[in-house]
Amino acid sequence: MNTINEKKDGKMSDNKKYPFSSENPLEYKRTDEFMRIFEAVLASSNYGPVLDTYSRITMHCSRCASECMLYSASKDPRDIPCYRSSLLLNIYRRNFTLWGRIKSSIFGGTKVTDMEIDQILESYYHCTMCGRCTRYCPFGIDHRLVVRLGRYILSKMGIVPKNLQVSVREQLQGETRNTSAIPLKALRDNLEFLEEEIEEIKGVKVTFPIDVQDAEYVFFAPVSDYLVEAETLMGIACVMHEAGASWTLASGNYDAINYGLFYDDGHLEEIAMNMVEEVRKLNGKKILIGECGHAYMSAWKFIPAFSEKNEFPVVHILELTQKFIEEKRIHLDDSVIKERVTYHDPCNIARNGRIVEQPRAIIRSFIKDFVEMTPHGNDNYCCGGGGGTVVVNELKPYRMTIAGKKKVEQMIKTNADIVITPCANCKKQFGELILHHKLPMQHAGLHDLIFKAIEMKRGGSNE
Amino acid sequence: MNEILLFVRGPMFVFCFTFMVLGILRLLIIMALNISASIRSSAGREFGQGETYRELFSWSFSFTRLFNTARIFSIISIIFHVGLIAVPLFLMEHINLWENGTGMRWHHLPGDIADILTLATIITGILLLLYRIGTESGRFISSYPSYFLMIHIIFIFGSGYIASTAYNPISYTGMMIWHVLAGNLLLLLIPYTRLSHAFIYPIVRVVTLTGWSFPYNGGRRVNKKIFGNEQIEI
Repeated sequence: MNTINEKKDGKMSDNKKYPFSSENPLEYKRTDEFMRIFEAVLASSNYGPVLDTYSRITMHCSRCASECMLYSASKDPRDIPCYRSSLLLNIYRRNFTLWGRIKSSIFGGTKVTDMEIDQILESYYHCTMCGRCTRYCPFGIDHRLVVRLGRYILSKMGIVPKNLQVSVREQLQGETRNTSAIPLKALRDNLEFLEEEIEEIKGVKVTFPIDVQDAEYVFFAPVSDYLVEAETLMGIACVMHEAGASWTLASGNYDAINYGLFYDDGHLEEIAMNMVEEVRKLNGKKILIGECGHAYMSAWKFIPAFSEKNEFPVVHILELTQKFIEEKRIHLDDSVIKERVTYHDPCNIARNGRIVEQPRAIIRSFIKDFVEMTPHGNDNYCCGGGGGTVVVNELKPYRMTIAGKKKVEQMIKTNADIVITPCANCKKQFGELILHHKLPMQHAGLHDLIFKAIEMKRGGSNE
Repeated sequence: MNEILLFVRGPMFVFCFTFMVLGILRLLIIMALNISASIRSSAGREFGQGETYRELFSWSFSFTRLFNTARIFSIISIIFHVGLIAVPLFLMEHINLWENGTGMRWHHLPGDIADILTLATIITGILLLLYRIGTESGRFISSYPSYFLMIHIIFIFGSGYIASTAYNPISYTGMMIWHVLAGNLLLLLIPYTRLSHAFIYPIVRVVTLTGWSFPYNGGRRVNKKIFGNEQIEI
């Protein structure tokens, strides 16, 4: 982060030099920077009362340990969620509570040590922020929030996984304004190709509308779908076409991905507001999110929080497809999918119970051999790649062996041929897990299978 | 000895109890002010109140979530808490003391049940303490207050039980003084240690929701404070 170094003039401190000090010390002290940033974040946010309450009340009963899939796989006590949170809460208690300050001045204690920063940085990018620990904590202490705050402070110090930083930089400050750096021309070519594919496979001309004014739904997909999940997008386009829905993509912003949800409040707000800006330009009515977990969570929860008025309801494509099936606006052939299928609930849409029944209603309407994982729904296990960790290549060995272990055991138990997951990050994680563990199954989005089964009765679309 | 017992049961207990009540009230008021400040800073937008109440009531009154995993731990913990709350509140001797001091009286537990609950609390307390001491994960996450508070509670229950039985090694008055002194110390500690969870635990989920309501333009203000500019190079 060049802004930090530019601010310091690189001079040694004026205090007398310790006679045996090391050569070439750091230009700035990490520990001072950490405290400065921590204070600044607390002053401009609502984290203060939360940390105060948590540092007061946490009992370390380790009920969370029995529910955390990381601890179940690694049996390393450093993976216990309440221990992970206490890394930051201890620093808070020592420096920002009255009794903490008194105690550390009597019994000795530093503001924060380099070792503590190293521990936070290691531990907080292991957590996948799935939220299982919060659901089972007797107090409801949200360890996700503490992990996110720790990552926020580290990111302001310049410590953030490179892939996350590069993606957000391109999305907010780059020319293409999306995390995969897909320029608009490439997107248009891609969409043309998808339209040709749909016509070849289904025999019907379906278009992906772009920049249509006054559409009911402005569609945002995780932009990686345009590169790697063609069938999901084709499925969504067929559903919207068959149902006669009014929808459009936006050429100014076609990326639903919001990595700010994982580590930075400022990025979260800016990315969400850019989406709103685009919808306003097109005079759209609702925001439609494609098959993605965190994109839906960041839009649904934070667009109303950050925009002045609650203008645009956020709808997930699964909710919409289920509504169309109920209203008999689309028809799915139930003889197409013969394989055994199971369903993985992405944490960001299932943990708070919002989108649990809708995908199951869709699946049951056209798939005969459907088996549930145990547990499922609100209580599901994380795929192992949540919280942005799926994007971080350095964490791949960890994700394959520890973070994804519980999920692999669940998948093997179901004996399924296809595991459905409506989330771009989960799909990437499942692809890697299936290859690594040589599982005899494939992964797919729900709309991939809908694309195979949907009956196109409506006829071609006009230009 | 009798004068000491009268003192610790009388003025000292009143002081400690009042200290506890005022301490808890202070905590609750500070939390309420913080919650309302957070709600105001997010301009009262979509706050998710429906979600709060659903989560709050479903957790507080549903026991099914306790039995997903760690079943034995959950059962032991529940028995411990039932005894911990029922015995101090509904023991006949305690109610007699309240009646002497304030004139209020309420139903008491039958003597046998009170004895069984006391013993159950002591045994489950010892088991929970052994879990903390005996397992690697328990030792790793525990600190001095975790051990001390549990030993203290077991001591209070143990001394109260022994004083009322024939196995009392020292005199009734002596054992009672230890019991009441330890109880008074616990009352002083409640507002300022993790024991305050007894009073504020339902509100913690609401506090969590306020944590998730980020204030408008928060990110820019943080950048301005740290780097001097609202917008920075990523």
